[in-house]
Amino acid sequence: MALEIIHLSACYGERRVLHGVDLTLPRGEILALVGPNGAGKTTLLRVLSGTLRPCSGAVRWEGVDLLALSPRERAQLVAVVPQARDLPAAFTVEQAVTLGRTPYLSWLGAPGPRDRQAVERALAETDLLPLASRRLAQLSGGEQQRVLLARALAQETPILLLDEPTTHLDLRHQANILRLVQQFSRERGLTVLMVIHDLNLAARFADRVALFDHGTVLAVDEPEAVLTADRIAEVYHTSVNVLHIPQGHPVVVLAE
Amino acid sequence: MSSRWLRALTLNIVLLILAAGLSVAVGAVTIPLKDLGRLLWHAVRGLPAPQDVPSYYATIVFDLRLPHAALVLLAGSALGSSGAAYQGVFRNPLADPYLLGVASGAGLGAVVALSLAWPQTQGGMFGLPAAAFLGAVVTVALVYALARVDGTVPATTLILAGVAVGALATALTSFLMLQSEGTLRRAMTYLMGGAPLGGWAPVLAMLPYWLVGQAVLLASGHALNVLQFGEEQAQQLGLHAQRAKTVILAAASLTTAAAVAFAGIIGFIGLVVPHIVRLLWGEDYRWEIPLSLLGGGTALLLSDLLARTLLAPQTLPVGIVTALFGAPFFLWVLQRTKRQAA
Repeated sequence: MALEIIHLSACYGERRVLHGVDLTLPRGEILALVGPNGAGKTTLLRVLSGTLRPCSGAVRWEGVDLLALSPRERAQLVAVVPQARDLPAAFTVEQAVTLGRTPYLSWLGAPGPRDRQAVERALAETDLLPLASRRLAQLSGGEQQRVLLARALAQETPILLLDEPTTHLDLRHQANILRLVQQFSRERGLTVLMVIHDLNLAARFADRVALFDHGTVLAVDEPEAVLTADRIAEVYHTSVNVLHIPQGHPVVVLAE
Repeated sequence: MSSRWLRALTLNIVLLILAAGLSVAVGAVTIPLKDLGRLLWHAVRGLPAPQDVPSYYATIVFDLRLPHAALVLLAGSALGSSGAAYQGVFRNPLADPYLLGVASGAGLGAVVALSLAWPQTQGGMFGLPAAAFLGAVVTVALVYALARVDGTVPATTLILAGVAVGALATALTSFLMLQSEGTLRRAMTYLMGGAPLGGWAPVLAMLPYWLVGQAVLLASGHALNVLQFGEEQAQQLGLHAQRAKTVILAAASLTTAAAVAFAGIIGFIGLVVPHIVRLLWGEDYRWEIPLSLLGGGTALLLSDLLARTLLAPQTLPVGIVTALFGAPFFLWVLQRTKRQAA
């Protein structure tokens, strides 16, 4: 298995928010992390991206201990797409995407031909080339989210983490972002973990779904197997119907 | 892209040279630019002063005006680049060595050192910026700790903390000055924005600190760019964010301390100059730092020129001139920030 998360626990001070999480992902898989607020999904991303030290457990990428790496080394393996909030308004799209090359740049931050090529490719693949010289403040929410995706692609890592990339976006932009993620995962063999609240988007775009509750993984399997009415009711304390469309993904709707 | 920045850099270098030339030429005795040029050209080639230029011109230029202009240039450029760095680290357009209280803290450090022993030697003078640096570091750490709310530094708490800590440092400075002996008291008044020390000794004493601080700030442009996305994203992009912030704050405080130790507490250069740079040329700290460095030198040279000539023969404290322009600018920025936040 390419990415192994082994009995990982994380704490904020005295409070333990992840309790011995075990997950393994093959290269090129998209895993959706779903579950109620405060279930530990975002905490897991923070540990994987190195901004929170776990209190116990291990994370390995093809045998390499991710937790022992320096920020620079880790950023060559793991890229993060955060929510597009509080971005530096005066930066241009190209400037922001170029910062994805930080783990490869010298301390002066002058990009070389190899870096420019990676930035160009990331801009092209996210349809941002026409917007390259626009300032971030002039972009819509969906475009800003695409900039952060392009920045992560420019980082050229095998692992991509997304933290609620579709929150605040309208339907079209939600589908657009997730289609891009799916496409890159297939084409580049990216291993993707994404925190997502919309269960239907998770079912539609993820290969497997991990259902979190109270800092543990209740179930991890294909969407049809995890997203059952009983289990959703138990975790979210909300009764739902799960509809099955022929040859389609399960559809979760609120019960009457 | 980068040719636009090179043009900006060239323009700022030209402006700085013009301001420096003006500063050396204009004063109680105004030296014609032609004579000034020939004096400097002869000096550069190691020749004695030309015969047809009045001999007291040479004395004025080399013993009075040139060291004064050099001191003002170094101090202004220090305030400009450190202001840009503070604004970058705090991600706050209102950060400035003066408003953060760092300048006052550096002043207190310098006054404590002066009240222990007035430097009689060049060696003693080298110690002055070190003492100012200590004061500056303590201040910036205190203000940062007071202003920090959940990992961010809101404008309101930052300014409140800066003003409060700065006021405390200023009060302690005034107390020490009033306690001190007559000669010492007069010598200390420059710290409160009076005329800076004269001669080449303070310039030489400031230079090593200035060079180290500016070198680090100039090399920090890329890190500052990454930090604009916040500490967490900076870390995820491969930057050792906490370490980078600490190094940049230390360098900005060292640069500020070098300026304050010999030119006194001067406000608003560090606020206004980086702002104008951003308005004219956009946001990229790899260029913003050098442009603010050059622009800060130009701005303080021109302010100093006004301070010396507005009410001549009386010389105004240069801090009054910078505040006269800077304070309304500050209010304008505050207004803009408020509107953007709304």
